[in-house]
Amino acid sequence: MGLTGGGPSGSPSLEGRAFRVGIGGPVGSGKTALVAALCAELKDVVSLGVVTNDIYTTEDADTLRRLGVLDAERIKAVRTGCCPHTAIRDDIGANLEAVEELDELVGEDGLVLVESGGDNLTATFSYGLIDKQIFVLDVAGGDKVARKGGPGVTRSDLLVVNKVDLAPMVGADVERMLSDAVDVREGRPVLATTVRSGDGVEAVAGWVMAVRQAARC
Amino acid sequence: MIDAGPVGDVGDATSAGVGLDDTASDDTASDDTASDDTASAVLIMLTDGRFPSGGHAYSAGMEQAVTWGDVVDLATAEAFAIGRATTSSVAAAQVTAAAATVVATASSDLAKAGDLLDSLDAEMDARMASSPARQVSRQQGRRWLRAVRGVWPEPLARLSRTGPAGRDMMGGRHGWVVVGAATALLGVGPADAATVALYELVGTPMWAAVRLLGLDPVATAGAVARLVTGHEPSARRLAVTAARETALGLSVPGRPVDWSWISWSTAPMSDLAAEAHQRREERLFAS
Repeated sequence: MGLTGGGPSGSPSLEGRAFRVGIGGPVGSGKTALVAALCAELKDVVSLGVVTNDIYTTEDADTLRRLGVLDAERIKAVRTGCCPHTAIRDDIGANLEAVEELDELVGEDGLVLVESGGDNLTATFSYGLIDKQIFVLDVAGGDKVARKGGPGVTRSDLLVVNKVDLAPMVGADVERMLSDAVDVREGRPVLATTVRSGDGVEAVAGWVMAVRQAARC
Repeated sequence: MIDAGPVGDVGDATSAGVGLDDTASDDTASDDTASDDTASAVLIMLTDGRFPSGGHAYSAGMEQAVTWGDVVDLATAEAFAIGRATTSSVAAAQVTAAAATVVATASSDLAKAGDLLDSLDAEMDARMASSPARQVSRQQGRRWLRAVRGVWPEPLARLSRTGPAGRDMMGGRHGWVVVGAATALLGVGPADAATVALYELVGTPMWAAVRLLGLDPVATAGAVARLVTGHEPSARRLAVTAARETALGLSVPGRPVDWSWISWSTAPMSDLAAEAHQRREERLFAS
């Protein structure tokens, strides 16, 4: 069927399950807001489910439920024992359990978004868990962050630079940040967003659907 | 782990530190070196903190004990671990050893092995008053099973959906039943399986305390070493007795295996902690 998933060779086949996109990034960069915006953008296009890896509470799952972007049973929360990066990279069993439960609801043509707990620039997803991953930075975290690199910035399948509307307020140079990101990512895509106002969300949603489509044929 | 409870004769069952494997394999030890080596490698992997069986997300009640103020430092963390090792952990280690014996002894009769694992599962239920604790134990069983089936598909397949009517002989079981059964399929004897259980039972809350209280990891490892080394001889003796009782029960055709020798020692505060933990809004660990 050619359903090879999105990761390196040896990653799990897509056969019989939904496409999975991981969304990682530092605390407060806008991961939950992006997940909510993607759900709103895509819910009429594809069957959706969300797994949140909240470091301390089920707050992210509760936020998504409150926003009403998805039915409550399509949102699952995983507890990570103080180690959000372990739960998405080194020991992914709890998350696999959650995405497999969602597979039954979402169906094999669906899409499951896996949101990591807020972590540092080295926290990336295992391709045993997800097919493609998005890393979210925000300009308020400092425009040098992209230049610093780290696996999240350099290796993620899509880098989103969020809150670009705040750049003048925090003295960040967005153009510099974006060009630094392009430099360190060796051709991997970068998108600028202001998720709060919806700017750029359509482009991120378009990327998600395009990589899903590419993996399925 | 104390030699208390219904198993009254463990003190003279065998000398300290001598486990089932040592006594049972005397006549085959010389030509069985290769399989012993394999079992050691398996043991190292199973207890490695990097082994992806989900252990990092559990605190075995430590998070609630810290919240209640019962554990505040290394000494109180160690006391907490001793409390568990000498109460509810005794049955956990015995069930692990019994499950290992069941699989080693009755694996040619899969229907019987499945029935016996069912009954061991029920014995675990009967010893866990807290419903959240039972749920967590089965969740750990699922995560263990996912890991060991992924890592060692062939030996584990012997009990994978091969039972009567395609029944999964290992699915949905308590964690210690899975650990015992899986380790037996990997060539690990009951005494070593019980030692794996001991390490997990002691290590899980202690490593969680490092994260929760910022304890010195080296000092904590020292405490874990003291606890594991100190309790290993009795864990191995418990396992020897468990294996003997299980094998005895299996040898009587047509009669249900008697599990009444499994310790009834429980820790009510652990059950209360599991209940309180489950109700909390903010918690870092799954137990």
